[in-house]
Amino acid sequence: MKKNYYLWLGIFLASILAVITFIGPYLPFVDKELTGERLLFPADGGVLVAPFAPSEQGYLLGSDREGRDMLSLIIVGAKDTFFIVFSIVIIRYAIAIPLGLFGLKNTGFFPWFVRWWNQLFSSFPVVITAALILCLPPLLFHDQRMFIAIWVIALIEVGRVAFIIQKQAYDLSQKPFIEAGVTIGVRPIRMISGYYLPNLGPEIIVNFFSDIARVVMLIGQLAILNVFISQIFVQTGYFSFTIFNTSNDWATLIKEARRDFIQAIWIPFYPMLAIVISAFTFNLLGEGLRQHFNRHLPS
Amino acid sequence: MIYIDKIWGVMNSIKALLKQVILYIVIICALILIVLIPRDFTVAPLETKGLEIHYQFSWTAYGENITRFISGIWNHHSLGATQYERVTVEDELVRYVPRSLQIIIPAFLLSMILGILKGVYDYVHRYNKRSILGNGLTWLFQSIPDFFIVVCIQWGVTLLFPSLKLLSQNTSYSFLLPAILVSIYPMMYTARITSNALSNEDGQYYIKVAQSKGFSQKRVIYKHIFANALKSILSHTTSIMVHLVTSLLIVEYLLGYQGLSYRLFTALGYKYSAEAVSFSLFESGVIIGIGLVFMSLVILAQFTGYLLKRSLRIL
Repeated sequence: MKKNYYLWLGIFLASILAVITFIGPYLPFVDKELTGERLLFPADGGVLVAPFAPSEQGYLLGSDREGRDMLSLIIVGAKDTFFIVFSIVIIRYAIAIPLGLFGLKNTGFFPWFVRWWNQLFSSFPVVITAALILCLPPLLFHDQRMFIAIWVIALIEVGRVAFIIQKQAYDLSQKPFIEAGVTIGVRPIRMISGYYLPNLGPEIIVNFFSDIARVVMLIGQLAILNVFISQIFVQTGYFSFTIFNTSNDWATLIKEARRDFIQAIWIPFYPMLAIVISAFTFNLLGEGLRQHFNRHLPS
Repeated sequence: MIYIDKIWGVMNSIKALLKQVILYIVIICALILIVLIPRDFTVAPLETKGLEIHYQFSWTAYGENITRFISGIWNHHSLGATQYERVTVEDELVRYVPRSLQIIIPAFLLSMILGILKGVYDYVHRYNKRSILGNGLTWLFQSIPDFFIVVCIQWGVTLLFPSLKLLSQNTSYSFLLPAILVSIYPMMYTARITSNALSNEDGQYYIKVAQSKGFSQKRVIYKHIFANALKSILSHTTSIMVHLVTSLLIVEYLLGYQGLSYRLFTALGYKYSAEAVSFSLFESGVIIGIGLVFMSLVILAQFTGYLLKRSLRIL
């Protein structure tokens, strides 16, 4: 049998990410409190102003403009980032799977609803839709902005996910073994758990992982456009405010990519690399699982 | 009998067309209604130092916004004014749309043509060693967000070829680099769709027949399998355009290319400077205008797909 390199590499990378997320903050070289010095006075005299370049003054990956260690920022930020991303995708699937399964007969309200939801949001870039909604004034200053934002991003693409599931469920419902189940009088709930889900499950799991990769990228794109999941406004002058991202997620670090790429490329670069690696990992896991589930099929 | 079938077919296509039109009208209305939500912040001084931003939604202000917008269209045939004096939304669009079209049109062609070729390559080499270059590469590029590629290339270009002025906007080839950058993600998306569509035809009898007649593999793929797969590829032109617009947004913003997306940001109201975000005017007219342009690009892409299918008789 052919070795499933995708799956093994995916599991390997995912376990590294898991270690970084859960154990990383407790490692000795990681500054959990994220304290920073904007000015440093090296022993040979002179003054150094943050951001410090990589491998300068003991900062392995450099520091940000507050003088905080980039490596610590990324490691500590992993938890917040993955919390947001997983919440979005789990909410999305928790809504989309029942919606899709309700529509397996392909008639009535649910398939219509799912189709419209899908088409409504898929004709316009998700980034613009999300940015427009998240920039609505009631949401800008809301205390629970993070949870609302997670729900908004989850709901925008529920239609697409539910549509895929609905279509597959309908295709499945035309198969002889389903009819056989109906004929011998299997109850509807048992039909779903014993007949539909075992067949739909693999595809749903594969899509789940590639959706995680999509959401990671989406959050990065939103951050480039200065739209954050959780933020507060801090006044810096008359009528001028700075957006502070209240969580430590990676998105905050890349917000000034436009300015930083000349002066301090390492500030946006490493968080972006972290996003790339995460997206890559989850895509790999998805593809690996697809090959794993399809291993009995003739290639 | 044949006539009835024909009438039935025409009826069905009219129904489908009507559905699409209603869908787009709903989307445009939703866009307008979201953008016109009033954004008047009252700023009240606090007892301690500083100001408090306060927002209170009012239906009357919302109603006023909507009536003003509609009367603007009705009386002045304009989407409204901008933050600049005597510059209407249309003037701005006339200025910025051509610049973005310079990127979008080459990028769309590039991602369609190269994407399909890449997809065929991925399909042909899906089981041998070159699949690393085929599926593997497609896959890698799909996992790399556009902003990462842009920042890396921007950095590399400024470091390595500062004399080429690839990032300048005053050269005649200034659209080249953005166009290539914008097309990467949609291209990989097209490649993925193409190779999936080709694989879906696997095992069909007509392929076996063609092979048994001794046609070369190239001929079987291009003349037989591809012709059948094209139908499902062309039904994705809408999503390709949506991905393209998404990339355009990021690329224009990061490169500072003065196109539609760049204008969209200035219109969104918070100008982002080094230290502060300041709320300037939220130019609802400009946002709606640019939204409509993006919308029409998507519709245009859908129509192109339809026309291509029609002319190839694979509807």
